[in-house]
Amino acid sequence: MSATQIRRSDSRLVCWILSAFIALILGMGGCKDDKGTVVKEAAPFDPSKPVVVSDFLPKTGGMGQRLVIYGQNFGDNPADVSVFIGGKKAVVIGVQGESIYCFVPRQAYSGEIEVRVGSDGNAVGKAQEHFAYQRKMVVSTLAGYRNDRGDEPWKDGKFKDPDQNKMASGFWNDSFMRFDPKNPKHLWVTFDGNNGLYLINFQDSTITKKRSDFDRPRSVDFTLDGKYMIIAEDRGNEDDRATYRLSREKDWQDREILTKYKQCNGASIHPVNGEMYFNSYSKGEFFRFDLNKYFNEGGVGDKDFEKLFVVQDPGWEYKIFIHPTGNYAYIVVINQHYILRIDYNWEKKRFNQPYLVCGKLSSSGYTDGVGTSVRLNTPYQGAFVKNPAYVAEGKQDQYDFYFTDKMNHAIRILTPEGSVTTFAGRGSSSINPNPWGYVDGDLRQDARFDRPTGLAYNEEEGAFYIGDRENRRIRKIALEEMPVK
Amino acid sequence: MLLFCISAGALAQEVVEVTGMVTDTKKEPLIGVSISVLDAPGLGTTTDVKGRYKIKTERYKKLKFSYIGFDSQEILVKDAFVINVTMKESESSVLNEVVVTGTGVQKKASLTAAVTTVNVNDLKSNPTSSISNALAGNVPGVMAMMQSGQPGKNISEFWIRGISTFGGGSGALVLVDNIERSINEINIEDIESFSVLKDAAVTAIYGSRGANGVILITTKRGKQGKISITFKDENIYNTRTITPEFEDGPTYASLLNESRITRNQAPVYKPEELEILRLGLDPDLYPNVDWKSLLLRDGAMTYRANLNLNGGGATARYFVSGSYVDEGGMYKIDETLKNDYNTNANYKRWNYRLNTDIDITKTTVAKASVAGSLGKRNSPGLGDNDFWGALFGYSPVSMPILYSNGRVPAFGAGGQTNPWVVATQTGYNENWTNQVQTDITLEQNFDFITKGLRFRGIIGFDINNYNDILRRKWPEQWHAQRSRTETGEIVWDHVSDPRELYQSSSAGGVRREFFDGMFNYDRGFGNHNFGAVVKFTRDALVQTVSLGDDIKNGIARRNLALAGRATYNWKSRYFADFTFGYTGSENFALGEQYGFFPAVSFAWNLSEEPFIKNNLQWMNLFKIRYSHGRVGNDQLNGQRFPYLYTTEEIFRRDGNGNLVLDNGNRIPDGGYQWADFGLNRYYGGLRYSQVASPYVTWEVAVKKNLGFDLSLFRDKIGANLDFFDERRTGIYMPRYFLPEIVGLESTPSANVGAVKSRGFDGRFEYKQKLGEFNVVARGNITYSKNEILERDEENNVYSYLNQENYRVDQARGLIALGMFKDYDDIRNSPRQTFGDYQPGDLKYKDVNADGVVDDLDRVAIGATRRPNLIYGLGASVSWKGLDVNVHFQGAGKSTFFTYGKTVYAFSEGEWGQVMKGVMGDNRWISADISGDPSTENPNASYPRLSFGGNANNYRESTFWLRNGQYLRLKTVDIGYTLPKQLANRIKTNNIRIFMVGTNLVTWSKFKLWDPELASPRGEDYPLPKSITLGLSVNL
Repeated sequence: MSATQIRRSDSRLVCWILSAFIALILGMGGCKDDKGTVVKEAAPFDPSKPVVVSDFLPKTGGMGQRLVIYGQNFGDNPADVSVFIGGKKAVVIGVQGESIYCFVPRQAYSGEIEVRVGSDGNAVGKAQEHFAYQRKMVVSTLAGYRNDRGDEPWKDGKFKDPDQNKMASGFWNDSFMRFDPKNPKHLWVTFDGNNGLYLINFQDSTITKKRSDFDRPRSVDFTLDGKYMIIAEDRGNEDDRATYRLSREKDWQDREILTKYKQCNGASIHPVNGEMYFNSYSKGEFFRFDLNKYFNEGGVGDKDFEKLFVVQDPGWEYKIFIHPTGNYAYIVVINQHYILRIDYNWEKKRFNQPYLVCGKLSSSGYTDGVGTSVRLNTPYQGAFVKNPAYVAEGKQDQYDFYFTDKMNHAIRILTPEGSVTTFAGRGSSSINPNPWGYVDGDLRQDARFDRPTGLAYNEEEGAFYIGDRENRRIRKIALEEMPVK
Repeated sequence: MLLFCISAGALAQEVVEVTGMVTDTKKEPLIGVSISVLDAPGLGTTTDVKGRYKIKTERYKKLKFSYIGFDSQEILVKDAFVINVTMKESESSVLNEVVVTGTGVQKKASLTAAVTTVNVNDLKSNPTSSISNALAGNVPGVMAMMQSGQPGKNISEFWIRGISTFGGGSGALVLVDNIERSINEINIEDIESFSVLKDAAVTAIYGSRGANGVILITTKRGKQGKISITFKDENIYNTRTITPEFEDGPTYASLLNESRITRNQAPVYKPEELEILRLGLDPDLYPNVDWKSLLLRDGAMTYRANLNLNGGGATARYFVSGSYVDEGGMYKIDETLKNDYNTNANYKRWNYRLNTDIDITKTTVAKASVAGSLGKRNSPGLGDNDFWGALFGYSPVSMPILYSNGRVPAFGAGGQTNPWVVATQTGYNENWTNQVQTDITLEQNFDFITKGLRFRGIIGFDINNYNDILRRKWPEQWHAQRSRTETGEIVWDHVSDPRELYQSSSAGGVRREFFDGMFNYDRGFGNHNFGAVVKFTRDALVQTVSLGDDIKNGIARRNLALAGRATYNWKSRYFADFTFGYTGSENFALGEQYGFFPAVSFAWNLSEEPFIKNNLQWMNLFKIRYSHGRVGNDQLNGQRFPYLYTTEEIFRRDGNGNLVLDNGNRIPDGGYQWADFGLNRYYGGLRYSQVASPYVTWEVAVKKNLGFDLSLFRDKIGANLDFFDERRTGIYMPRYFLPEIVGLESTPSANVGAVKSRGFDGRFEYKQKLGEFNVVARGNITYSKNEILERDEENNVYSYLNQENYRVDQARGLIALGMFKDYDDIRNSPRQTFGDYQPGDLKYKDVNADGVVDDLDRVAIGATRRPNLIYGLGASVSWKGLDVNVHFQGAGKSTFFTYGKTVYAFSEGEWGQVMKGVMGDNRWISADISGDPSTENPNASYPRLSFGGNANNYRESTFWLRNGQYLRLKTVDIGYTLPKQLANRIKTNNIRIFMVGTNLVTWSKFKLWDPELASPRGEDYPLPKSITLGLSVNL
């Protein structure tokens, strides 16, 4: 048997050699790249040759525009390449010898393109043509970050800082925002499920938690004189506090209960007459509380509120946004995906029965349109924004209503006529078909949100601030700033 | 005393040395002729290079000279001690050929039935581990399709004479050494004979199990003589016949854009993004990956070795074999894990066999056989389906292999895991299959009672077990959002946490107990030859592992059979046979269990007629056969005891049939409130969840066969041709269309269908000697066409909607008339109801002319996926030691629909590659995009692209129907046998070196993947194309 064994191993060897030979003849072998990536090897930068910028694509765009620059001798190391557009340094993503991929920086108004290569940056190439920079409304990020695993803590801090630990973070929950009527540099925010009262302070670019003793705060508003802040809380029992006031002179550290009832989703002050309206989720009740009487006459108990009507059915989660003129209010029904309108009766100083403006009861979806053809998905907070076009036209109602459409990941506009369009979000209709994500830039082309909830509008600045829940950030929508000269 | 006896014996039996020379008829010395002493075990020698031998033997013993290819001779040693022998080349005449049937070995010439016998050597060149892959085109009467090319799953499904039922099952009964055993695990080198029993005359004895035909395999047994050792070693290099090709990144991206623009959707890629992709400027977000070459090797090796020993003396003989096959998988593996475990799709199998024959007395032989196999199939952790699904799903631009920071990308979890991760980073699975097959046969010759009476008894006991062990893990996976932050950072989505390696397992097993007893009687009285067989068989298959809680699972599947056969022939000229099976299946109700299956057959051997014998001597054999009989098929798709009903408690359900819960508890319903008012003693009712089908029984096939056997010019030309006609009735099927007035809540089953099938199979062979060249040309063909005669189906206004009068599994769909030319064309055509459509979308024929194209316009188009015709053509030439064998195999008339994410481009959005060539060379492109009105061609090769599916275009129609016909160069086998002298010099008998090419060329109209591959989506392991180098040595 040993003889057979020896022969066997010999034969295997012979067979192997022959197999290899035949495989080669048949061309079934051969040497292919093992890696599946199809990438061309770029030549390294040659300092003896000039850097040439021959062309770029596209020719026009705004900040954050992806730009491909063509030319010669760019090398193969992004770290060695700096690109300046309009004198601003651009972020370079990739370099492949004869092409560069970078982002158009902010405020690159003049549009000259300059490429510097090499560690000393002496080799410079310039484009003949200028990039036509467009200034436009963009979505940007004010504060916050989300780490890769999405478990960053709630923390006070600066809007932005190179050191992540110094940055404010958190913002995990549905938010509600309101500018301080006396100080437009202060934006007050509460988060449903977080016990704090947060101040976004634009004076020193910080976010601070001012109080930590709330229980499911759902809204922030102010009395007409601005002396008191009204907070609504969403709690379980009839004798739990529903709304209370904090006073400015105590630096908002005190608390006086106004009303007690269960499951309040928000409270709003009439901007002209000053009475307070709030709701209860459990039966959809809409309440009126006479703040004027409370302040002026006293003796108003925490159960002395009046039920004006009931919105539909039990379990109706909604918020009330009153028009700056006080003529009407929108009832934004969060969990049933539609918006109602209630007109104000100036004689009775009460709101009338609600009627539908847009969306369809219990029917979620994403459709722009008019009235009942519109589909919303969990609309959350809104703000009335003066439309200069309406003013010019001399329209009676000069305000559009901008609101966050949480599960549609968009900011939408409701006109006085009941037409709904999308203002921002759901951009980058690119590789994944999901509408959510974190993308700054052009409102519709690029920008993406992920469950935006809180929304506040700063009229002076013309800027929107949005609590972008799943992105754990405060986002901003505004016209790009002009360069500071 | 003892001493005396021995010396006395020694005296009586004087030992002498015999020498001599063995030559052939041309006086050339024969080397390696085996010489043994009859009745003296172990003694033996072989002739040397000069043909000389020397052997010691007692006087008056017989020497036996045997040599492959020559007639054996026995010579008595008397006075002459130099014995020179001239051996004659044996003339294998068809008249002497024998056939194995269910009632034993029979002379082919006396056969009245349709039986294909296969030369096992023709099957051996098949480079896979299963013999089933060698059947197509080699075995007339068998149609086969290879399922997959994956090691361990690379088996062929086969049907004897096609399909003639749509009921319980269409698979043939496979018997290995008379016992039902799997065909796929047999070691091919162990097979002695392979016969296919096709008509009722041979299958009636199997009664209710024989209707789909029977394959009989017998294994080799020891032969008396000197030990013969055969060793065979094969190295096989496998690549793939056709591997689907995919479009590269930039092409994919521009097609993707087109699919959106052309439907008024925003493009996915802006022009600058296409440039970033083309230039490779951001491989993290704009990757361009060739997943196929990343994951698949160019080829893989299979190694096969086989060793067998064969020999024995006068009283005992043995055949011992062992084999090992290692089929390598085509997946690439992670080199860093190479030493830990293997994620490739490998298959290994070890086989052994020990067949021993012992002569207990002169008339009694006991045969004990033990055989077993241990197979192990390997696969990557998430399994092969996910592997192919992901490989076909990940477009080149969807994900990089790894992100530049080392993170693992993923489209999603599970089946949408990154293919590289699926293939290499998710652990590995092992599927073990082990089989032990034992049987003991006792053969007794009762010639001493009456001449020609024999008995054979078999007791068999088999154990089959399998266990699957899954060892899975996965890395932490990430998904990069498509836009970077302003500072160029990637925004991450966390897809899954990492999972450490964990394990799960499952197992199954069955045991088979088998008993068979058979009496044979053959005797001739003058010109009258009689034969009779009576046979009793008992078979039980028991599930032994993982029985679960269903009592039925533990009950053996038993079959009982009493079968018999009576034969008569006169002068081997006129033959008449009667066969019957009286068989029972315990799966049916009492009274429905036993059935009688008779068959009669006749044959007329014209060549034995004197007028031919005297006048046409070149006609060696010309026989006409006819058989007619009944056979049954008791398969019920594995269902047990259809005559039993199943009951369940009734619980309250809502309008949609969902259970209504009260605090998580089900609420009893359908019962009665036994308590007084205000109290609660409610007891729920019972209902039939499955009504009984008490009269269900086997299907019945009435088979007729007309056959011709021909052999001319001293077997130079040989042919067999069989025409068959079968009518299958009582086909088992659920009765979905009982009127509601019957009031049943569940569907009973019954034997209601009927199918007829007709066809023919045959073979021819032509042998010619041209000088030293031996040329053989041969061919075979199998054709079968069936038609449903009866089926439980609803009454349709349009008869073409019925399955009746069409083939089983007939392809059905709309008739596509090309694409809509413009909106006028749409306005002027019947309305199509499947979804929105535009110019460039498919236009269908309104078959029933009701002005609407809907499902009522679906008609039978094409044929069936399973080919209706299989054929093989081949030739072999041998010249001295060299032999060349070429074999072509083809399949005719097969049509199938293609579909899936790579065929229907972008139908699943961006999940799915675009297969190269799938769109043909002139797809429909809107002139707005191409700038050329001629691309709006109504006869384009692919309709207007669409994103996310298109209900109008992507449905079964002639547009997606493909022709599965093919012809392939199945085998090229070149062998060289070393000259005898050379072989003997290195102490061997015979050495052959050979090279086999398999599936070298395939001609087919269908080019996207192998036309034989069963998958309509192409997402399966491609079929192999291989080169074998082998060596076989006989000692």
